[in-house]
Amino acid sequence: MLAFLIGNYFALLQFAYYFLFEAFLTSRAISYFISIFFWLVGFLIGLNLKKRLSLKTVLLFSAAAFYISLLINVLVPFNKNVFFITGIFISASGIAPGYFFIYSKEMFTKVKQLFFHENNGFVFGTLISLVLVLFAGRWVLYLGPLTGIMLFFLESFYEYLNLPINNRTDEV
Amino acid sequence: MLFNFIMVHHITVSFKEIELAVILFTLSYFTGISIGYFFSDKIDVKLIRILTPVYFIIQLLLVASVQTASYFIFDYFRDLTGSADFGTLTAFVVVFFFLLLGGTSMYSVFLPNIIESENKDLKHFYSVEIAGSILGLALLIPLTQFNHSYMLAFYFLLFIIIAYFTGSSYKSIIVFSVITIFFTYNFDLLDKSTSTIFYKNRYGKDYVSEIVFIKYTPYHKIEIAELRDGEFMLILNGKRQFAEGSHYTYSYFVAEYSARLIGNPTVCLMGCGSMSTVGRIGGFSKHIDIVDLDEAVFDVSKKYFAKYNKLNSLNNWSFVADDAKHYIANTNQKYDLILHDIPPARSRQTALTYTREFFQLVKSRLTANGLFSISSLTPLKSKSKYGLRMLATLCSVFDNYFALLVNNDVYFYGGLNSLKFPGAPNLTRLIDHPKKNEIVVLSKRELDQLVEGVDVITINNLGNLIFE
Repeated sequence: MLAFLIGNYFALLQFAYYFLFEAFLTSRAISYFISIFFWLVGFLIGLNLKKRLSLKTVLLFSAAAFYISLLINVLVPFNKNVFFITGIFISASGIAPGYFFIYSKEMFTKVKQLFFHENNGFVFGTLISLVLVLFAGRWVLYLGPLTGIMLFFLESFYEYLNLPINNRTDEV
Repeated sequence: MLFNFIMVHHITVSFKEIELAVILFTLSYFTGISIGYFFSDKIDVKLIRILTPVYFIIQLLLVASVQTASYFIFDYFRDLTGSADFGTLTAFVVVFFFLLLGGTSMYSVFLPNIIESENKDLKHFYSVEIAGSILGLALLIPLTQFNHSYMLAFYFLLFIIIAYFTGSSYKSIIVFSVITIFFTYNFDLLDKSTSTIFYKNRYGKDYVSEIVFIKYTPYHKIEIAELRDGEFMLILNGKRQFAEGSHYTYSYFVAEYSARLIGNPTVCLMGCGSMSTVGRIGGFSKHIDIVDLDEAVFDVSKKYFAKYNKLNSLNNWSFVADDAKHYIANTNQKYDLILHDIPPARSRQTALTYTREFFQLVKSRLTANGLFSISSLTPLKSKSKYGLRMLATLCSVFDNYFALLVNNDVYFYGGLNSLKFPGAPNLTRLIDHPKKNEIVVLSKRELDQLVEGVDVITINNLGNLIFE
């Protein structure tokens, strides 16, 4: 369930960045390619990080990066100079999915389960993002990634409560 | 990455609703990945070898015929049930399953399979895959500069390389290669033939003669249809943008009438299409900045619609390849006349230019006596509230305005407080159009009454507009 909710969060986050570009920067195709490029670069960095930080910290960092870039774009919309700054924030957020796979691979007996559940969450998140962005517009930007990460934290807290007291740790 | 780009283009042309096409494609793309992951440990090399030709054929069929096939499925089931919605839904479902089974499900089998067999070195193999995605993305930009068949050739070359490494026999590789060469070499011809069949069925055999030009860009599939009467029709992503008959009235009221109200304006034309509006006003405007996302549309229109846009004989224009929002927000130029000639709001990208936020940007770029001109695109008295909502949005942004009601179509003209309009009799007298006597001038007060209680369009409710 946690992998599903994380996949859902990543979809909400990625789509929020995409809509941020469309609504506050530019709809040019090159900007779409560049936003995916920065996301993938972040992903690659995340995949190659050492497991020093908790997953929660990295996820919060990814959400914080999004909201800072959203704030900048709302304050200075359609600004050329903000374009590459936003790219850097996209990379910062993109670290989280890469780090998630490195962090979580040992929690699954088969790696296909990790990929499968995360991707199912991603499919779900993409579907609701595509529909919500049309009917709720900027509210998806304000609340989408926040809702995604909140769902993950609520579920991890629920699982934590269901663990025997002796088995509880700080980790997800 | 390449497959994604190719299929998005082919599918958006197939369905009238661009947003639904994007949702359909995204869902089938990622669901295919999930299916691949799920079956990854149940599929061995032998099965992959058997399935590879099946995938090859499905992908070829998708690229070659999704546009025509989806139309025929829609047509067949619409006739069978009498419901267009059922026809569309069936076409969606069929395309969804073909995409899901024949697309990404194949590729997503490999990564978990390799990681499991190579002692769980997820970091290494996933990094290689992501690096491949980055490379694919980097290649997309130069590949879009060339003919679409080059991109297809490159994609199927990669497919054949994958088939080779997954153990396909030499005989299969040779067959794949020969088919790829034949297919991509003849793709332009095939594409024009299938598109001709598609549009003959959509618009009628007596109307469309043949498709004479096709170009794929990152934004559009641009098609030029030659009509039975020898005229051309511009089609962007499967939607008709310009046909001679319908544009006479449109370009007069959007461009010429508004430009003549001002006299000798500096003009910003947002969205180019055929640019018949430029032909209308080029002769007496100071300068016209034509702004459009897609330079290829501009080039094609310049060639095929020269008779209407007269760009070859005018020299008071310049073209800016930018999206209207970005341009209007960043330019320091103020204009006497801003023309909105962007296609209807059937996708997020175009719908964002029908919002209060966008009209506020436009207003900020008008001179003190500057004018913004736009058509409602939808008849006022229809089931759809599209036109009324647009008017409500425009009335909520501009200070002074009026509109002309031409056979149920509305043309809106708005400006700042400093802009003063003559009275209705003078506004009517200025009209130089055969329908002059049937046209009704709607004053600011009448427009306000007309749109009372109608919802304004903002970034927050684009969906209502798109699916209206």
